[in-house]
Amino acid sequence: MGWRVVIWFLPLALAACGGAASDTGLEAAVRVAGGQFYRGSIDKLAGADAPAVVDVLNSQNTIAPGLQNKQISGRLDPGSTAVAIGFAGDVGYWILAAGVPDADSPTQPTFHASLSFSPSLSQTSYDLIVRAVAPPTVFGPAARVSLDVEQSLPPTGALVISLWWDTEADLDLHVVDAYGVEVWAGNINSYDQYAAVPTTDAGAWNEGGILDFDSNAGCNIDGRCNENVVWAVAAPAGDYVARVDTFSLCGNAAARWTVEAMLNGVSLGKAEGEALSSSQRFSKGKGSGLTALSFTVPSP
Amino acid sequence: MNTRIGPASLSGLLLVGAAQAALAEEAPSLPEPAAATSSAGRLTVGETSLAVGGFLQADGILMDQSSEGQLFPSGGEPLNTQRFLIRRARLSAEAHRGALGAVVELDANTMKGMAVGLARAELALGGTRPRWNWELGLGLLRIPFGLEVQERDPDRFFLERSSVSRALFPGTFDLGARAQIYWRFFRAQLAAMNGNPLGDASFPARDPNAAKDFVGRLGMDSTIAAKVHVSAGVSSLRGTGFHPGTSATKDVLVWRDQNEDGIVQLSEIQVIPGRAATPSQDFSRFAVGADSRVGFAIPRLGNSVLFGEVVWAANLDRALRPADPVASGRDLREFGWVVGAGQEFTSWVAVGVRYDLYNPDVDAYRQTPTVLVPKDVSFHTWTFTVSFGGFARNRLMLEYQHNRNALGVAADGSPTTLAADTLTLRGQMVF
Repeated sequence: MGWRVVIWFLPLALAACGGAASDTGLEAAVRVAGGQFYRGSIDKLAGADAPAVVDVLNSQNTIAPGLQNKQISGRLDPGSTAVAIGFAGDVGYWILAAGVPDADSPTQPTFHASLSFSPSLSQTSYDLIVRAVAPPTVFGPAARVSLDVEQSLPPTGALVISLWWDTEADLDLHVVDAYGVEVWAGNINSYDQYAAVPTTDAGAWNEGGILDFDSNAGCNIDGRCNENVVWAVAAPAGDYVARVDTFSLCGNAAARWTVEAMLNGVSLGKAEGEALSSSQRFSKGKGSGLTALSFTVPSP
Repeated sequence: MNTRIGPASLSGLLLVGAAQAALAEEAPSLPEPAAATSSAGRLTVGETSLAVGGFLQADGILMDQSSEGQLFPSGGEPLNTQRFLIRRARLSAEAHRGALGAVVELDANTMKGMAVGLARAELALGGTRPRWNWELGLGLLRIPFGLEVQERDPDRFFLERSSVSRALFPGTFDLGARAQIYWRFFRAQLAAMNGNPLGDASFPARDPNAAKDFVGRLGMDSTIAAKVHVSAGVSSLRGTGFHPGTSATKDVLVWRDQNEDGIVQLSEIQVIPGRAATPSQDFSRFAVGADSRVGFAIPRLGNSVLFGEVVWAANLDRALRPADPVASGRDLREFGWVVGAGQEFTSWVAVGVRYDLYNPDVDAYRQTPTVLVPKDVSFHTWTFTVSFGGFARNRLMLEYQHNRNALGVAADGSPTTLAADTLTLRGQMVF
């Protein structure tokens, strides 16, 4: 009987041995390149009479959702062998081994961290907590760095037509305005088509509808998955058509898109659809794409 | 001269086959036949005999501590490994005509999506005399090193080879030429091979330099008493590895937002000057190993097998932590060993346990804030296997692997194990 128990429970006992979990920590709001992820809130870890963080060098206190490679560095009290970094209240924190001291403070271990932030940061500010760690796993007091989140706001203007999609595909927004001028990646400003005679007004170009960005162009993925055509000042009254052209799905099976037109902050219409592989076969260029939304801009 | 190619299997040299061969075979013939063909399925047309066979290994990875329902943050490959997959689906054809023999074996698997490729392609010229056999082989051949590398996949009791074997020999087949002589219990094998086996991390089944690896094994294989079979040997490899050079690069203009204000400033624009190409370099590598295996039968209980292998090497890791002494600036010395045992409990059930250790860099060190300290980068693996079907080739296996490594970082910054235990179910059929 005894040996059977050993056979069945030995693997379970071995599995329970210590170590670190193979966890990418992608759910965490802040991620540290090269760090080992541990679950649990960093601000709730028991503190002790342990080495502390001497200083944290941080050049900017403003971050944006999805920001990558923000550098922070600092010094730790002698005896520190690692540093724990994380947001207060986050799902976990990151451990980095401490580095060699600088020449000007030869007894103080250093740390250098490259931070990336979740694209879905929802709070307006976060407390970045840095704690020195000494053997055997004793966490020092928390050093706090307050980081303000600068949310990327939608473009402002009299008339804004926006296209969003959900996968890393190359979709293009085409907008045909009341004069029949098409704004797209091949004609990013409708003003050139309006100007019957040359003008000396340096700011006249701003009167046209302008495409702000050709996202994921040629499948060079930029992660925005959003394009906008914006009339900063009054848009011509009349009928408009917004089309979505599936230039390439870039290897994805589909892309679900949304198009919305906003006139002075009020929605004129919204449409949703799905780009499939069959959507890629149409010819590309001016006039291409499937009609997503038709709307009318009234006279002022 | 009575010259022929024998169809019988070399299972006497194989792990599980050791016990079986003690009862079944006295004089192994050459060459090694197609992985799973049985002589019963042989068709003779004129002077040519043909055989077609194969085997299937279908896995279900029931638990993997390193698995996660995410994609790699860069590259987008799935991180989930808890899945069903075809580990090996092999189809082989074998032909013999007089002293000539040929074997072609195709492999299909779903390890990284659907893949089909050549697993083995061997031309052999050989002969059998009353007390000795000889063979000259050319093509994609089994590498004549040690015990585990020469073990055929469907005959292995454990699901996969040990870490040291998989690191130093990422594939068991390589392109080259090989000579084998078996005289009574004496075994001698010598091969000249490309040195880039199937599974090589850099140039699988290719050879970026003209130098060849020379691999050989001297050993014995004998039934020393009724139902007791012993094999042992020493192996050696001496060869030349390849450090790839780099291509020429163009000048690149980069912007580094050093003050994180999102505005391009002149001081933040840098020119990364282009670099001229660097030449590739060769480096020497070697391995020596010793192996032993004992198979015996316990009356009324079943067959048993005990085995062990030890390998010392330098600059030979080609898979787990590829060794490049040119890049690292020093030789990378590797050391590993494996011991294991298997026991049948009637012909229905067998259990096995194996422990293996592999250190890809015995001179590794790490920098703490104040001093350089040695770092143990070893991989330790305990493997527990239950086989329903005993040592037979058609069986259902359940295997638990407990892995220890130095890939994780403990909370105090010291190396620790990154969890990677697995529980795998495998069904295997040979036809």
